[in-house]
Amino acid sequence: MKKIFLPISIFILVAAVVLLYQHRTVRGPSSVIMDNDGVIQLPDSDVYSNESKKQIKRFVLRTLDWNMKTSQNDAPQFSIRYENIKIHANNSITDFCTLYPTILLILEAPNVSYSGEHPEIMAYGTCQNQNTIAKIDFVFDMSNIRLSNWDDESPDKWRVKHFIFSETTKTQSRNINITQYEIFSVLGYSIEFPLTLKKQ
Amino acid sequence: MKFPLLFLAFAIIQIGCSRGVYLGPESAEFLATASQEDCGYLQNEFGQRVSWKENLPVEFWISKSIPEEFRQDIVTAAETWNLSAGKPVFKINLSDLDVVLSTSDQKNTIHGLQEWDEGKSTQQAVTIVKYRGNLITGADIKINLTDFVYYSKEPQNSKQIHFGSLLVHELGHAIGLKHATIKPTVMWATLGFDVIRVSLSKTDQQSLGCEY
Repeated sequence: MKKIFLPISIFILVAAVVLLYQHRTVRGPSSVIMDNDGVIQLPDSDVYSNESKKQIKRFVLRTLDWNMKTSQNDAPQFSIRYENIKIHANNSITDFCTLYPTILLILEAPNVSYSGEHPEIMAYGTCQNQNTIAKIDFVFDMSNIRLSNWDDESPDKWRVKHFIFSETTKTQSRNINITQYEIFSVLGYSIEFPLTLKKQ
Repeated sequence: MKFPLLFLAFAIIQIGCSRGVYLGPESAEFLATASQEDCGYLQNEFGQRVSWKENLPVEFWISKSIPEEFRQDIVTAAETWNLSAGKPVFKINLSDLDVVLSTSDQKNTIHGLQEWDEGKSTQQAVTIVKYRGNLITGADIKINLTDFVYYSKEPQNSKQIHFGSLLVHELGHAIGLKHATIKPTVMWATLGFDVIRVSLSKTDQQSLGCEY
């Protein structure tokens, strides 16, 4: 019996080590970490480098807290809330809203196409600081829907296609897109929302 | 005897846990393996081409809202795709002209609409395709009879659209094709007044061959 178990055990041990090594290689330790105060620390101390921005966005996407509500006029709304996120570089601390004052959110209906194109909804959100919370509200209405000639059976399921973080610092005209793939590769699943839109 | 068993159990748990913390990479691996070249087709969230796969032929019911003079053009347009595929991709059914327009039922329909969205008055038609995963589950074609006048054989004036060409294009959408960006193709996004486009180009045939 020992003769069988020993090689099996060694094999499993080696396999476990290999898998763990692969895991660390694939994931890698993120250079963006969150300390107890919720401050994102950037070791390279440059919040404006592309790599840092990418990591900030990935971190934010991973931690965002979605809330859905309906406004008084029945327009569906989303809000994203980041709690106590500040970007720490050198001796200065920049809050999230200062770095990204507006975010464009584009949703698409995943399982329907109109002549080869997905229906899309676009909504801009303005970042608002409320004490330690950065809050961004997105309001959708029919005028923002790119393809609107559907019938009453409109899509009721939408997913995030793009987050576009708009910057006002340094490169005002240049927005950086986080693509659908990047979102999926970070979160590992698609974010889907039930939305009921009324045809005007 | 106990040590190897304990070790085995520990190793299994260890492997299980190390896999368990994965969220992104597993999906990333799946994305990497599932993704296909678009080949002119719609793609789902994993980059897979969306089509009817083996569920052929795709049967379309013609509504009485389609003027009688154009019904044969639909049959001809379907035959164009069938001949190119070398098998019946479409079957056109004229036996239930009272078919109802609904994008949620299982019937694929072709309707002519006398009311069209004012903001889309330049749109000649729209094909609504619904799918689950990488499999199309339904398709409906709506023709804009409000803003356009069509002809079958000979145009009466220079402001008429060739109905057969329009249908070849819309049926392309119905099997999962997107608008093409390189001419010549029947899947070009616009169809001008003076254009007759009823033959599949080499690009269209290659796209068709990718899935059917």
